[in-house]
Amino acid sequence: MSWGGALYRLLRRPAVLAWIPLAGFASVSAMLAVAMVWLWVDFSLPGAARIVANLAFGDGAPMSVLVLAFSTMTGMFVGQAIKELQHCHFSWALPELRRRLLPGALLVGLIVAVFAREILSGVALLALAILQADPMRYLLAFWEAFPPASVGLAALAFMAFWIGIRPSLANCVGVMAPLLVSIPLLENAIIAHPLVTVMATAPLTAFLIHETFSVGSARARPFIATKTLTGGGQRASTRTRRRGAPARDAAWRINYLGDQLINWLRAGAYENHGFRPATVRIASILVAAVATSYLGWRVLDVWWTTPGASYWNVYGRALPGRGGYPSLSSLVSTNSTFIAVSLAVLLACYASISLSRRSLYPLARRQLARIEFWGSVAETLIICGLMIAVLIVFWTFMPLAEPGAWRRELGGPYGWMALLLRPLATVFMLTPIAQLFRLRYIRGPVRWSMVRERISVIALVLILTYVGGSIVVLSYYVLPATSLLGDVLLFGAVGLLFQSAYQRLVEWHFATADLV
Amino acid sequence: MRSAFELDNVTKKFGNATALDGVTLSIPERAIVGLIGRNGSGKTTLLHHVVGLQLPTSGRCTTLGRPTEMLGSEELSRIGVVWQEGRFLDWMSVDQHIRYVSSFYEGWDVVREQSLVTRLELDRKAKVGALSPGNAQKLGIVLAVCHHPKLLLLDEPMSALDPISREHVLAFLLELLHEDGATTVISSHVMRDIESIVEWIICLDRGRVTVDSPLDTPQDRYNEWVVTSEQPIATDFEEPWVLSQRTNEHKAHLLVRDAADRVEWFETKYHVDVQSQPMNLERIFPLLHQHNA
Amino acid sequence: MVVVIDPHSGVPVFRQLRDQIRFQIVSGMLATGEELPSTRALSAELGLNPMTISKAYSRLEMEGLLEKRPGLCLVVRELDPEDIDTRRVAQFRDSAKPVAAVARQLGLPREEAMRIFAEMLDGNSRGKREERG
Repeated sequence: MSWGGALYRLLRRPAVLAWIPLAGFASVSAMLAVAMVWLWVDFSLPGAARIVANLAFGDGAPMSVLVLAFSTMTGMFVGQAIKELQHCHFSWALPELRRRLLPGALLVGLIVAVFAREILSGVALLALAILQADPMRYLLAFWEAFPPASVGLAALAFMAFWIGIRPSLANCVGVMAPLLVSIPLLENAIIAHPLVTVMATAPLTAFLIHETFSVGSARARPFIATKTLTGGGQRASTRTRRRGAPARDAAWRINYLGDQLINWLRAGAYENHGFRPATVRIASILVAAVATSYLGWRVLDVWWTTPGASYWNVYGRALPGRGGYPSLSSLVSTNSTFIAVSLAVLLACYASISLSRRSLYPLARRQLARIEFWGSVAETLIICGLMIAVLIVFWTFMPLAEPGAWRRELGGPYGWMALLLRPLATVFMLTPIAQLFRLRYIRGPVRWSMVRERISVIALVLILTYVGGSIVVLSYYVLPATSLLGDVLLFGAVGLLFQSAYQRLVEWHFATADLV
Repeated sequence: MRSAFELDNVTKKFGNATALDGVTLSIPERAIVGLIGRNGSGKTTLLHHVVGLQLPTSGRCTTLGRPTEMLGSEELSRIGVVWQEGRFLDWMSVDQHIRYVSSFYEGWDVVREQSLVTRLELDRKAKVGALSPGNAQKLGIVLAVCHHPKLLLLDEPMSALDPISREHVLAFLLELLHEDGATTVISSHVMRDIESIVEWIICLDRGRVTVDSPLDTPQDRYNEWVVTSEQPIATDFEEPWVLSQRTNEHKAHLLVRDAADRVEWFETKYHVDVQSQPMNLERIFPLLHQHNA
Repeated sequence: MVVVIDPHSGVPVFRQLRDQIRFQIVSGMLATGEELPSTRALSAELGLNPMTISKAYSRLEMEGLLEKRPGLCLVVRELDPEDIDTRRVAQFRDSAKPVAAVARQLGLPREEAMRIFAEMLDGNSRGKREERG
């Protein structure tokens, strides 16, 4: 198999080909949805849309997260494609497969990463053109802020990571993830010193790639056929313990479940997570650490670096025509909404506690509906709890940046609660959508292939994240928060409304749908 | 006698494909029924409908006296199912899985569980995801019977079992009938297994019921005729009840249906000798699909 | 009572059972008044569906070969000699039919076939006399 042949085979994988149009579609539709909402704002508040757009996209800041997310997904899919090729039924018979795949893998990673940038900048441009924001300014900021090399490197790094590094290296995940995610946090440093960035990240990437394609790591994993991307998707029932992880399963202590709701919720948690109680804790700490580091660094950036100064100027401007929250707070709200909603959707799709055996439970459909609904509420509450923990940690960074500004902006010691309220309300509104999607499709009667499943989840994450962010941003203009109590009542009511609609839909699903 | 379950003109469509087409059945209690049919004939879909996991597009389905969409925990805890592909939680060990499923039911019989695990030689410490297909089937059986079900549905429960384990399972199913008065439905391709213990046969062909009778009926209806003649047999036999034939010079093997009382007439007409021999279910099976009633 | 059932032969199981029990009753292997095993016991022994066994038993009861004593298992009914004779002949006729067909197919002359058959009858009975005697 020539090198060209290997490359062709890599590009031809359904994973890669399916990803491109779908990611494009997802990002376009997300941006258009947001754009439409903001257009409406512009009718009622002329000029506000531009300000909002500049606030959110003025220096490409949130886009950096998005670019990295796309690079990660790119790496994930390409890596999976390579893994799939390496572990097909007769791969062991192909001579020097690993060596021949390496250059193709590198090339594909670069191509797709660059392509990702083009999609994103093109799409953002479209949205901003509609909003009559200042596209040129945005473009320049974006192109300068994130050199292609660092994007490519990020993509390659993730790709190498996913190709299946040695089991012993898997323990480094906990350390590596925040490291890799903090690239956007260091983006100002990257802006200033692109070459240094490349030189600093190159060794790690080279190491990972070497590890991935080395003989040692291949020997550590046998060449047996594994699940392919076009095969069935993930189910709780097919999850296995990570290789080499000790079996510290949670013990099942309940003798008879009966029809008590709490028992069945425990059963659902046991089915889905019983084999990794410690890992769940580690994962949540990890999540908190990642989010905290992101938010915390951003605030520190704000004051300390030159691009940060211009950033600060934008945010320091008062918003026209309305009282309400100052802009630093809206930054916090928006960003925490992004993180909260995307995490909520991911957790809802992949870390749920709903009963998952495609077999018979001695429960009437009504009871199953009840367990599903309250399980989902428990999931949502856990997610909110995580976010509250993260944001509370975040507050510790705030005084370091500008103590005076903090007190001035938030108007009193209880102002911080209001910042939490709207993002959390958004989580209550949007998580049920992901949970319903999971119920009807990911865990539904028709099994989706892994490709289809992952791409839909990513699209859902993108769409709901943007929708959530724009809801929160919009709400500060349309419904300025003047009283905490008013906010609690209003957003509490809206959250409850969405949850009760979700409850009706779950009941309808269980009354009429096939369960298997 | 009350029926264990009934289907009344049930049709199920998945998109454009029809899995069940106007199925009407009524199975009495304490019956042992064999459900046979080709792959994709709708057997598993039928079993899904009986336990209420799927709902019909049209028609009604009633199990243990209740419509299947309204089956409550009382009825469902008296039903046991063994699926064709084990629907297990792969990360658990066999013992963990048994413990977990046993907590669903109030009256879990630990003695029966232990006896079965020993008889079927199941390793309690093995990981469920790593079980061979045969052992996975054994686990499925253990999980389905220890709570003394009144209705037991088995979907290809023995296809991967070795003959000794098969004997154990068949003997156990009879015990189950005696001890629990259970109604049993076994869906299988392996006719040998079910022939010895079922008394009623249901055959599904592309979603329709083509046979719904005691096992004796197809055995009586379909026979093999060994036709011998002193003269060479020249013609093909055109009678409509001759389903297939294989002719040598002086001997022909015919497969016939509903022809028990036509032997003498046939002998006279063609000047041949006919010996009628019975056929077992394995040999009758293709004929059930050749000519739909 | 010893019965050998082949569930895979294509002959309905209840019929095999019925025919074998009938044979044993008519030939005297099952004496008058002898108790037959219960449905459940026989089902466990042979690995068969108890419904099949009770079907065979009820057919035999209808034919008048078995009777039910209240509270006990089925027992072999006393048959009058004429009845036994008729049944014996009918049984033999069924068994002999395929043999006659073979003779015809082989084209064996009638006298030859009868001579061989007589020889077999004699040979067997001589063997039995030697055993008993």
